Amino acid sequence: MQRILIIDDDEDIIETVGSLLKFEGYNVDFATTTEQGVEMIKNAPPDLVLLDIMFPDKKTKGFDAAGEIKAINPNLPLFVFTAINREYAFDFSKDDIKADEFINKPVKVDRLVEKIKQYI
Amino acid sequence: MQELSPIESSAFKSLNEVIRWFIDLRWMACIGVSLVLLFSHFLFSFYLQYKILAITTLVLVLLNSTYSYYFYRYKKQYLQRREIHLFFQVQIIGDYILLLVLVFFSGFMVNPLIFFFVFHIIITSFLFTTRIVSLYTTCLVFVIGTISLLQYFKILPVYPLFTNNSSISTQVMLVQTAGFSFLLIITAYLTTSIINKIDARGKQFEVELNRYKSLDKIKSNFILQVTHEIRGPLAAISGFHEMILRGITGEIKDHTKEVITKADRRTDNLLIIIGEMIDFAYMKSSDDSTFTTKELSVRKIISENISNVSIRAEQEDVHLSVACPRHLKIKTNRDLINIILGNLLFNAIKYTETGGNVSLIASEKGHEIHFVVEDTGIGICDDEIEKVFDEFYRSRRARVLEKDGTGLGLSIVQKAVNALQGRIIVYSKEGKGSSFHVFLPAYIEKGKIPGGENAEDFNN
Repeated sequence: MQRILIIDDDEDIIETVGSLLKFEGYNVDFATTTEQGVEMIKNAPPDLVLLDIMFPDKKTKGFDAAGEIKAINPNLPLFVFTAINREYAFDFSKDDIKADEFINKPVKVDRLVEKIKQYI
Repeated sequence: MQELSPIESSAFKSLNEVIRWFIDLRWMACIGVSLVLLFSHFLFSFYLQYKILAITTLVLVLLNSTYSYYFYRYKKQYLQRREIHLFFQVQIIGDYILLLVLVFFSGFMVNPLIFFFVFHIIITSFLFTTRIVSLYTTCLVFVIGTISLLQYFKILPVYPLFTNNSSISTQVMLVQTAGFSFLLIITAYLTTSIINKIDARGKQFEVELNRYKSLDKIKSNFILQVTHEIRGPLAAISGFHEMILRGITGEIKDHTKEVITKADRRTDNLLIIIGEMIDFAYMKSSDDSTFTTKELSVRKIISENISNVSIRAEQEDVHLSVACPRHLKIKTNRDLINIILGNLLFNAIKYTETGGNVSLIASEKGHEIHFVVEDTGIGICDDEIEKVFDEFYRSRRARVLEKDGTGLGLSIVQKAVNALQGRIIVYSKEGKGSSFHVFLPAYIEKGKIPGGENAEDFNN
């Protein structure tokens, strides 16, 4: 079974997206901080990562974490999963972020699965 | 060099112009004094210390030549503030001394040239702090007073301006000196206090400028925060709805399913409304702010926007179709083009009834990319078509068909189209459908978001 790691500080998102993905037949792990997530990727690499951008300690923490994750394994599919859909809100370009897909929160699970299937 | 604030650096830049001005003025003084000397010598035969006066003028010419040499030599370089100040000090002290020598040997208090000291004091107050101006004024008053007293006690000789010296007594000169000193002090006091007031205002502007800059930052952060704070919980709500609808929480009755579906739909609408409001706020508050552009694949942009609305189209049973040449590229701003296409697509789906069609076609037309968003929806009636781009305007049929909506979507679209230097045209027939044609330049280097109130209307 393919394993998906969700890194998000919002536990409700982990619960909803996690259980919806489990229902679709994926194995789901989660981390509530990027540090924990990066550690988990190092120890037991998942098949795909869903990464939030805004964390309580830093607004663009997910961007930094994306770089770290891609440095560990550039081939690991990484989806940035964020409620912010505009570049102007970030002050920098999506092209600078090392992510395979940008998924806007909320997302219907069908669409998410469709995207996931393109990678794993 | 220390970092200067914009206002300081503009003042700093103008200092260079002041130096140039000084040099020009001094040349005029040289010419003036020389002419006066020549005329008085050859035409009026005044009894003057021509030798000393000529030497003084010559010194002035030499000094000014040196100043202009340094000025043009270092013009291109950024001098330190302190160096420029030193340069000014040297010039001003030199001018004071030369003027003093000049008037001393040509009648002193009787010579009208002595009033040029007032002019010097004014200039000094523009350039230096109150402390330095007071120092200069005090020294000047002291020197003039001393000379006058020494002349009064016949320790220093009097060099009269006119041949007939008897009419001017040193006593009168002493009184004149006192009056003149008073004039100098008043001038120094008045000018420095005026300058200080102007400076205080300048500093206030600087504070305001910084405040606006930080407000701008707060605004951006606010948008970021609001998006996250509102969308985050809504995303969770939407997720919980989906969990229930999918039966993860257990089997649900049909009625419950219906209710939750409605709740989910309203949640989705709310998300759209929040998105519109944030985009609207961005477009409104970013007047005259520049944005950057990037070369983007039109096909990719279209597919992103289509996938954003595909679920909605499925729910509404609206058929989506797309046509776009594979290698079509556009250099533009990603946010703005997403705002345009996203809103037009979303509107088209929203106002098209079950079983209808929505299409997005992109093509190249000369230097423009032509986008057409067409639907078989409710259309817009003729008397309303001119208002659809107005802020908060929703057509009668739109309000009937869909309760939720801000009426901002098309107004945002138009602002974004204007910002990207394009144009938008709408054709519509009530009950048959609408088509929105957007023409965007294929290549723009950067752009500005124009002022919200004066944005041109391109609809017809």
